[in-house]
Amino acid sequence: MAIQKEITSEKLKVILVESASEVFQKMVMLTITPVQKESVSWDSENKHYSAVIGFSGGWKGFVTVECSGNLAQQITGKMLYMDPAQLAVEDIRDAMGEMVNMIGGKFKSCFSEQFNDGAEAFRMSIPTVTYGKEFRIFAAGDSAQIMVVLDVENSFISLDLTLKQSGTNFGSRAVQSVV
Amino acid sequence: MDSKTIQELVKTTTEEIFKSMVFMDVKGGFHDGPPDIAERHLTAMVGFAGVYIGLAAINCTHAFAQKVGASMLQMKTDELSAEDVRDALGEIANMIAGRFKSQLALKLDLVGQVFEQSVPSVIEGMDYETHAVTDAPSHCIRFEDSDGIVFYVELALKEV
Repeated sequence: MAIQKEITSEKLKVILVESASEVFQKMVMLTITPVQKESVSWDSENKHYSAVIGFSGGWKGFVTVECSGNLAQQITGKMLYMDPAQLAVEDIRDAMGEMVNMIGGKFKSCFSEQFNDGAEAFRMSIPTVTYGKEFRIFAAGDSAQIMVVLDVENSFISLDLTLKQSGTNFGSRAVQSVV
Repeated sequence: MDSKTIQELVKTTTEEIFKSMVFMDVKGGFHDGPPDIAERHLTAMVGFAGVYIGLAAINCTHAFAQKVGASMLQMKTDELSAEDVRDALGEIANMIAGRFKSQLALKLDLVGQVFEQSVPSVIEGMDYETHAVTDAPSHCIRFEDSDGIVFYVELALKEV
């Protein structure tokens, strides 16, 4: 129980940003910078991407990476060393899925190291990628949620984390006081 | 496990959950291709990981999600908030995955957890499509309720 008390939203934010930063640096050689922004409003005229990966085990939840279609195309081009204009939607979906998978994986190892004595705190499911206009992703039930907006080459990425300790029922707000 | 057995499990699991938790009779059959809903809709997804890895998702119109929420919570549709509707559909996805898990364990004669589930995520919007990024086989079952309203349940599953 003492370990849980050390988990704060600020610490989780730091881990989340560091995980994303490392992945962006290694995979696409881009620097990300957190910005003071509450949320990102996606242009309803243009499509955007949301990649999600679920966590299950001692802790459960999911992490979401959202960005504009244009930025997703640029990121994929860098990942695959291809001209962004030549990419198919499937290429972009796969790249965004891989991106959230790597960010989730890095977050898992940092979280486990810091808050679970190095033992695996949760496992990851398979990534899903949603592509379209005028849609939003929500967490069902009550779970602690953290959102960070990042600047990547003058475009925004929204990074969301939903997390709760297993064994707490939906409707319980107990975890929110922990995180 | 072969595709037909998995599809049959998804079908019976969903029918049982709707009968016992939503108090609705629904009937399902295999659907070839992605869900096909043109109007405002919702997708509730639950990821899972363990001996098997994958996800379960339910995809339906907003009107049907309201009907499900009202029936589950024993309320009128106009009394439900948007959050109530999303939570109800998320809980349905969670229950389908949970029931599927126990049925899978029975079929495979597995002791202990086949997998553990994530927190459900719910997508709501007008114009979107969702894909699992995996080489795991994906199965889609099309359901109809007694009024002919259509919804879909998808399941992607592979052994780790």
